[in-house]
Amino acid sequence: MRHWLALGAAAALIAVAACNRGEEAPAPSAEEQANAAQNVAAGTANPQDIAAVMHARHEHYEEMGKAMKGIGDQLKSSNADLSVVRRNAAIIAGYGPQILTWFPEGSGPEAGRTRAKAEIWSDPETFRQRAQAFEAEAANFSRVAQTNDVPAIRAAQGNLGNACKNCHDRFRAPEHD
Amino acid sequence: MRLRIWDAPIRLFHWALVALVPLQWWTAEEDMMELHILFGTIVVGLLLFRLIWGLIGSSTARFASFVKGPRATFAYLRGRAPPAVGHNPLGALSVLAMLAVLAGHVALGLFASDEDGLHSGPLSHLIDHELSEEAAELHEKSFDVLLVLIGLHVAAIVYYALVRRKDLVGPMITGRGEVPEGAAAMRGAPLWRLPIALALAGAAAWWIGSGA
Repeated sequence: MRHWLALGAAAALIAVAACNRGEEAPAPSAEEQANAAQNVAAGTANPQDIAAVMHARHEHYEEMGKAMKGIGDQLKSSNADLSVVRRNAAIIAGYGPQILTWFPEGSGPEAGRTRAKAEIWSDPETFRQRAQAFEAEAANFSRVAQTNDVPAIRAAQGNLGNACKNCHDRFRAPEHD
Repeated sequence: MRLRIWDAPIRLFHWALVALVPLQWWTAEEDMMELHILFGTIVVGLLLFRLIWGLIGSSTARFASFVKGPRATFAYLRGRAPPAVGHNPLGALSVLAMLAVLAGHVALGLFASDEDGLHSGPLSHLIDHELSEEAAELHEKSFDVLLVLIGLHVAAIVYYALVRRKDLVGPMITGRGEVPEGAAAMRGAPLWRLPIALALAGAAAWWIGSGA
């Protein structure tokens, strides 16, 4: 009986280990991220700083995705909680102006696992245009969200979504293959 | 003798899915998510209808008439089953498998969200973003399982046509086909049950599609 339990436990552990593909390096602390951002701005970034910036941008994008869903969940319902919409709009509008600082030289595919495509650095003009268009849409959405005009908010949400998509379609690699 | 086998609701349900499954694949590929979600809600309605009709519909539509236990299934495989009209025990297993996988796939879609939070199923607001994204992943994977089952289904139809010289497509279109000697005839359901089943399934699908 005990042997079977031990075997079962071993099998379970192996399964967990197998599922745990690609352990990532421990997440950089907020302080490390701030330092990294400073070094990038100063032009003195080392590979650890680049990795910290990449990690931070990934987290920020995930936060924006979550915020977009939060907005969508409210606007889909017949009685939207606009305070939730406004809170999430603020998160996205807050990141809009930062986007261009998240892609220093060396933080593309050459640095390792990332969905940032090389085109970001080979076509910086288009990337900049799209990032700035997103920044503008995010600010606009936040502005419209302060009103109580739900149809207008929905329309602005559509425009914001298109701005996300416009950049991703060209500069973000697909998730699988 | 050519007799009735499948009633109109069953045939329409079957061919509606034949149209919707590839359509849904295409709307997803082309990122036409509003359409994808709309058609998905229609599939929910169709599945609910099939469930209801499987309880109150014609004799060959009812699950009770064709879902058999292991004994009857093995008897059928040994060629010792009594003559019957409608799904044989193996066909029954494939119907149940396809309905179950499709239902699971659709259920996952109802809760799914894309990674950017731009498009999400009508019930995704009930769970958080990470779970929704996982639902989306499983929704994609379960489609592959569905494809395998559909492939087996089509292969079986072809096998019957070429090897057993039995046309199964015709009866699913016209409702009529060769019924073995001694098999009990198909009994249709009273017509008044159809609008009830449609109304129930439609209302439930509309409720789900509106976010429940």
